[in-house]
Amino acid sequence: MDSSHQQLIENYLAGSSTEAEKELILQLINNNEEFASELKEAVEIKSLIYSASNEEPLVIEVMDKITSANDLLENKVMKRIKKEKSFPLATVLKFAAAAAIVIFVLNLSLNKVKEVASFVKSQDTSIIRDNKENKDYSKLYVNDVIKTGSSRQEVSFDDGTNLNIQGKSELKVISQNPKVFNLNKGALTAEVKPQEKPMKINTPSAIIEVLGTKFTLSSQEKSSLIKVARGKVAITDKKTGERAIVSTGTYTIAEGKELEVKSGSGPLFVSDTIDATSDKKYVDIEIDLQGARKIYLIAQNISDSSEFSYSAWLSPLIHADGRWTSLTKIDPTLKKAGQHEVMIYQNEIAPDQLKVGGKNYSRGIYAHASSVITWDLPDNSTIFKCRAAVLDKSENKGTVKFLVFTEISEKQLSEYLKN
Amino acid sequence: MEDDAEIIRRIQNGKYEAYRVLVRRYTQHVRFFLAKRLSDHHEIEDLTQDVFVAAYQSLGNYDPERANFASWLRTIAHNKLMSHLRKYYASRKRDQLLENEIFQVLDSDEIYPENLVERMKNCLAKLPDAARELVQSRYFTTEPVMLLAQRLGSSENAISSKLFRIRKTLKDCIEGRNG
Repeated sequence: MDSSHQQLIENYLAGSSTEAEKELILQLINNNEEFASELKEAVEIKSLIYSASNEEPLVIEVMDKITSANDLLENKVMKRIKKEKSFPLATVLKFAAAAAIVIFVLNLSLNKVKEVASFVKSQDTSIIRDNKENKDYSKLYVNDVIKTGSSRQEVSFDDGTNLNIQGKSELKVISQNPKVFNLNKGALTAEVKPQEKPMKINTPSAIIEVLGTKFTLSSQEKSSLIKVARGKVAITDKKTGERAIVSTGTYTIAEGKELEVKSGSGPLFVSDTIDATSDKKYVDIEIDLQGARKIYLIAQNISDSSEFSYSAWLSPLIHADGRWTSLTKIDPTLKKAGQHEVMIYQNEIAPDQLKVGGKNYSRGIYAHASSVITWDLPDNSTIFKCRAAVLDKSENKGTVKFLVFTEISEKQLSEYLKN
Repeated sequence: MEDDAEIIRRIQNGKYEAYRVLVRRYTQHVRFFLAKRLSDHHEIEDLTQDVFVAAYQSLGNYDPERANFASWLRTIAHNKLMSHLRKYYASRKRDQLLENEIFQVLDSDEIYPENLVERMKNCLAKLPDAARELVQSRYFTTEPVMLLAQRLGSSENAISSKLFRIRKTLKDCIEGRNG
């Protein structure tokens, strides 16, 4: 079997054959017995591998869909309607249709006062309702804004969907069915149970739609990072209108450029581009480390010129085993910068060394972009907190992006170091 | 084991919960059928669910005396697949036509080959880790060859040849030619 035929078969199995390739396959099937039987065998083996690798019966998924389509409606509303002990299926469907109408009408009239979810509120979470901020609420209604303090807030819905909102985030509830939210700022991890209509989350830079999956969405002013752990999510970049599907094990960043879906675990945090000439020269980072063993801090020089930028990670803290530790006290396992050395400052530093917006910082890591610094994390690390900045001494030179990874391939790492 | 017709009678009498037995019994049949024709993991899984939901909704029309449940389900799977492909190829009629012609040659009416799937499980377990990871990345999680090549620092041609050789090894194994 020659390698061009192997490639042809592989493309067919991958569903990526071009029209011309399909024409060729048809010709070969009819004229070349060896090819025909190879292709047949390949298709058979491929489906056997698929079936042998995946034995999970889809009982939960299917029953969920059926329940939400028929029985849920029936159970909820039939209680109010006299019914016989059992119905033939056709009758059930008729009742379900009637029930759908009843529920629709009920929804219309009750929507304003309907509770969306209740939750055990973290101490520093507040709810903004009718323009008033209140820390005592424990129920959530449409139009409420959840504002987290320094700790995370978990919100669970009746259908089992779970949102884990990170600290310093703001999430507004726009509607309940379908679930629609605005993530004004911050980040969240969501485990979404199968939905009848896609759940939507708007960020300033993107819209994401999801039917049932687990993902993390992190929003900056101008960019959104979406990472999908299971299932798939559609993302639309608001600036370009481009839409892409992000599925299990892939991620993408919507930042007004072409959407590029990449495989791998991807970064946990990506900043907007920070320019030394802009007013705000820093970004505050707070991320959930999700049981990570390592952390990689990357400052990426993205200016066209070969000029490096004076960037720094200020007051970097790790929360582990219930207490905060400064990363500056832990020896990095790797520190590499394109220009100059990576300097880790504890307390004694030359004046103005770590100065941003006129303010001096006493602890931090000074690393030119592009640079990579890596640490082995203490056991049970849960949160990383830091201010990443372009230093005042840059004097209007340099454009930087800050990224945080907890897993990265060698190839990706060397690409960041190359720049 | 309760037979299909009995379960279906219970569902038709309002005990819809009994449907889970049929879903458990036949998920692999539908999955195997769809995996022959589709190449994306999520498409296969999503459509498998859709087939069962559609079958449930048509259960009122099912007559056990005319067809067994497995072949009735296969007909539904076939129809769902066709309508899925029509949408997928909406603006590329010629492409779809070619695709259908190829599939007609490849398709067979065989029932779900349960024993072969069992053997495949054992054969996959016997593969070296790297080979198993490669075929499962390609054919189960359906990672594109291009991405595999990038990830493994290899060429697409080399990956295709490797996959070809591993498929041969697996074929020999399930037919008992290399133990």
